Amino acid sequence: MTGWPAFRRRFLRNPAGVFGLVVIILMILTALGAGLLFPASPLSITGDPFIWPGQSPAHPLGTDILGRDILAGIVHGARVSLIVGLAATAIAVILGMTLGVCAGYFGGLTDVVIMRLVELFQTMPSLIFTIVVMVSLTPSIPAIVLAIGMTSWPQIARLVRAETLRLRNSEFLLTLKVLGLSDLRIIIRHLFPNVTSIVVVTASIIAAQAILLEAAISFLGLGNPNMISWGSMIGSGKEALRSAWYMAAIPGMAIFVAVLGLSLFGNGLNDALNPQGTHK
Amino acid sequence: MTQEPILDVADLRIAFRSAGKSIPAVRGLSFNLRRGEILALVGESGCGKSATAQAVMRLLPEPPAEIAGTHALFEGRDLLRLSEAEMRNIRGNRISMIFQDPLSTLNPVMKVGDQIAEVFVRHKGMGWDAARKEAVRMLDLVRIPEAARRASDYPHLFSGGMRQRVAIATAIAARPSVLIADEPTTALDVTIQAQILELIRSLQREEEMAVLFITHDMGVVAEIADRMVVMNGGQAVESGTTEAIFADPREAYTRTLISAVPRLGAMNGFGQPMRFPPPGRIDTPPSELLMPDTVRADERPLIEVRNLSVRFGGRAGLFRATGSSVHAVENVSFSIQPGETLALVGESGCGKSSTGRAIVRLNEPTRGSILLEGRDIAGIRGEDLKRMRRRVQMIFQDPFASLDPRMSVGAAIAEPLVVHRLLDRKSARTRVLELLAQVGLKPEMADRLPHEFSGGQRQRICVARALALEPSLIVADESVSALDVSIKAQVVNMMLELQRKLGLSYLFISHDMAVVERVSHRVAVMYLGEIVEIGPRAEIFGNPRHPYTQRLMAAVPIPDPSRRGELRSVPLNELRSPVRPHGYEPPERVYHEVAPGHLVMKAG
Amino acid sequence: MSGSGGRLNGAINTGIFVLRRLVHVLPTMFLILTVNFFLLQMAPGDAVDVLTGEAGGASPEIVEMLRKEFGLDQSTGMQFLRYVQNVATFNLGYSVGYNGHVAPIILERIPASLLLMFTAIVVALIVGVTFGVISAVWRGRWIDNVINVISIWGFALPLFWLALMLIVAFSLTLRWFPASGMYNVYQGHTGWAFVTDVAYHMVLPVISLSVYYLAIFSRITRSSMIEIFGQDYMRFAKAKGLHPARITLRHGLRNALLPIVTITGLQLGAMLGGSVVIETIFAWPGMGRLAFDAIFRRDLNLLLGILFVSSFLVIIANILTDMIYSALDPRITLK
Repeated sequence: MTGWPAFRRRFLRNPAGVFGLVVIILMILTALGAGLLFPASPLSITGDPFIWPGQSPAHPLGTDILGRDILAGIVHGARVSLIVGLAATAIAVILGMTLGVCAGYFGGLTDVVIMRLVELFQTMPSLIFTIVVMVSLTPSIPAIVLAIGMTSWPQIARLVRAETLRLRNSEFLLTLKVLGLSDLRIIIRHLFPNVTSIVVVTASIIAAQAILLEAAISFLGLGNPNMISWGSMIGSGKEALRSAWYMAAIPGMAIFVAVLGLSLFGNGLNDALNPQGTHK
Repeated sequence: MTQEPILDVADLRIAFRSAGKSIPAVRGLSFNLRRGEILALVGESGCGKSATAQAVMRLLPEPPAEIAGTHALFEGRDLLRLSEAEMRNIRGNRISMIFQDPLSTLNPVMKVGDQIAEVFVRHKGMGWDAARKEAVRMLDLVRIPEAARRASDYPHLFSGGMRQRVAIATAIAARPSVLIADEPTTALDVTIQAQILELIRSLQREEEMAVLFITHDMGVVAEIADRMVVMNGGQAVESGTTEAIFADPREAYTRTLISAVPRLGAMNGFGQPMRFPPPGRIDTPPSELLMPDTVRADERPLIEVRNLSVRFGGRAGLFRATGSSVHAVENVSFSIQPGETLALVGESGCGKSSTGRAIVRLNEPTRGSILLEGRDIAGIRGEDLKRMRRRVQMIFQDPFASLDPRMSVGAAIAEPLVVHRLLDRKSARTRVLELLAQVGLKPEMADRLPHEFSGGQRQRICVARALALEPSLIVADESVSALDVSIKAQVVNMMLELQRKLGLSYLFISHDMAVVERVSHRVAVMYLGEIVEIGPRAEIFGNPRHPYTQRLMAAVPIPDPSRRGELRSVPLNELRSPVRPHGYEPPERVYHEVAPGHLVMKAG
Repeated sequence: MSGSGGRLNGAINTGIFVLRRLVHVLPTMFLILTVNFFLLQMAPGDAVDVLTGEAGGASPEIVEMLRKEFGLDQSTGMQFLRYVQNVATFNLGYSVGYNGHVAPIILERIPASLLLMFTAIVVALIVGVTFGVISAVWRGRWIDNVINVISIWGFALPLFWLALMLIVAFSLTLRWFPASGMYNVYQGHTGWAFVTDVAYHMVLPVISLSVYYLAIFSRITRSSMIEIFGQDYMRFAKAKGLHPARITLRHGLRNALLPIVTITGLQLGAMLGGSVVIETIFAWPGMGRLAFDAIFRRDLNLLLGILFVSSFLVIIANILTDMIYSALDPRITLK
């Protein structure tokens, strides 16, 4: 690695990664501008039901069973996906990095306890766990973020732990110990920066998974009923699958593009961070 | 031995394409290999010797490799222009190859017998049953005990030396006329190296093979090669018979290489450590190279290790009836005077590194005491431990792995100064520049990142960082082992110079007997976690008494072809394991003092 | 060592291994129970209110029975003990929605779910690994690019949406495959006809469920094959003059299977989750479909039971994975 400019050059050379970045930026802009573009609630009825895409200029993507505008739903739905994706990933990264580094660096009982927790959350099927959380708490965005964050951090923790274990026995960290650096300084100044690159790549995958998971939960009807989300749009579109399949198809495309963007961005980051392609 | 060339390489050119540029690795190399001879291709890392070997076998992926040349004639056919299908019939059949690292050469999930049998099935048209029988015969041929039983074992159950034997058996199974050996002994301990060299030489005679032997080690060349080609920067700089080149090297580069090779016994008659001659000046008189006496023998010992034991692992647990533990270090005692260098020598797994790490408290000693200037540091922690770290520092083997890739070397050197609150930021900067100068680096290098330096420079940076705390003792764990010979000589000279200027003591841990002879005042030989012999350097090298010390000395290759075969006949036994059943107590050891300060463990 | 003796020893070792692993998972199961209990406590109202109220009311006898079962008159600690005790005797409580004990309701649904998941995993493994090998061998060629696109798309497709679109295309429009159920209840097939009928019903759910995992296996296989191609033993195999197909499959793929097995083990939990959605869409009579019904009826106790049982299934599957791994890797012995 030779600093930020070289990294940026390598990243920008990869069209798929740049596409991913563009998708993410568009999604952020859409989410931020949703209120300006469609000031009315996306849940309000604005036209006749069952208008197919392209039939009416007022509803470019058509309307759903109740006559709600699909484009407005897509634009507002980006908010939920984005918030859930980012917040759940933030929880996963913070928990995963801290616990992963502690487990790998201190070993012993700390490691045993943390790995037990990792095992616990990797054993419980994340979707079923999230469902149970949503049923026992009131369905809300914080609840879903918490549930997804709780089930995602073990991925990061495992990865960080493995990397920390590798580094802990490397001459690099042994030297720092001999030089008299405190554990805290070694972890913060030397370990964290060296595990960041693998965490960043995994984080983009986790954000993608979080969006998929949130969509599945809303599809099952467990989301916040007062907020429109892509998953809930598919769920209501399912009822008219036979006569108006576009209602389910369009929000699905939105999810697909968002997740595709995140994973391409992650791949692009990975290639730019490990130019030899030898690392994972 | 006939003079007819079996492999004739003319004007070989190899380049590697990277980021649109073509970077040449071999530039017009010509040599020929004659029937039944051993030809060495010698040079330092990056000289193109391995690329040459792989190009002849057409193993380099093209692209990125670009291979051109007049020809590489083998049995009348040009290897550079054969189709891949034709090459497949030659590889492993007419020309075979073995590689450097025996631990990774064999497929970990395939029985070793099957890996050999594959060759018979592929090239001799045998059925699997017949091929497996032949494989057992091959294992027998390379002297693997109980060949029939071991054929159905997987590689991980074999030691490094044994795995290299399996690789050799695979390579010669189809009775090829050429064997290419790419650094086949570099990853092995000296006694194992001696056995493998012996095996290659005797198989070469029995099977009448020609061997292309690729190595960086002049000692090995002198030991095994009939003729040699010295390579530098992708070209041959000198070639001829091994005797002629060692007797009278024509080129300055060859002279430098030969002079940089430490010679066991070169120090007979000198009491003090001695620097290596500067590049190109082999004939520098010893008096100019000899170091003054730096040992302050009348002072109290800087460090005294008493009955140190380090054991790892091995708890008995639920459902696990018996536990075992690794007795890495067992009842080791020694001391080091201020200004003195004690070398700890031995082969991999003998416990020398564990001893070094215990002294800098990277390993917790299981038993015993470590007195630093009279105070026991075995159990200290917190501030005491931090203070101790200022007195004792350590340098590791791999300079590429020892530095944080994201931190400029200036910041890396300054870090210990800041952490120990020795200097403020501004004076730390001045001190960093001083330290860089001390290890022979330029001040403007302080702002660069580690990857911008060569291996030798990086090791200098590591030394500078260790010196920042002004320690009295530096534990140097194989610190020059990974370096090319010429670089190794320079770093060793620098370390000796620092000892003279700063009065440092070294615990010099190494498997390289010849370097040890150069740098040390006293030597301790370790075997299976114990010191079997310790004493003044001249005594250990001139009058080794313990059988293991004698075997170790005998196995070291001598860079002098006229003394070839003088050593050899090392018995075929591998290093035993220091893994002991739980609760094992080693027997009481008795040491004999055979000369003043020269102690030998009594057999038993 | 005689062959039969070795086999006997092997069987004993395997037995000890399974036993030790089961002992090892006890703390994990205990933790899962704790989480379950915690979730039950988090729900508004006392447990019985949650269990009965939202399920649409229940008879006073049942309420009384539940209160006793949960020991709600006692302290939280005692309630927890009671809960653990119940689960330890495989009493997962009472489902108000289904008016019966949770454990048998779930057990009845397990075979259908396992059939669906096992088939999907096998399909995903076979196709994914094949894709990955092809992709690694012809790295950078058009076929690699095509497979990369497939696997990236497969990863990004929400599987429930894919299921709906498959239904639109192959069931509603083309009428090739049925859109719901596990077998045709009206025909009353038996024997071989029943098997083919089930297989016919499985096509769409299996495709929907396997695409995501196919993408993952393809990527893992590709990257581990590429890593393995750089290993010394692959170079040595080439230096022996072996045919590229043998080098790739016998030496390369055989080693690449190890990380694939590990990943398969880690993905099992996610797959159980995925099957909830797929079973819901295709009205597949498995545990997932049951979970959906339980959501609908806000039957928390049944959901907790499903979470517990599915976690247990994942644990069993992981033990199996470890055994397969050790069979594939001679360096690992079961311990």
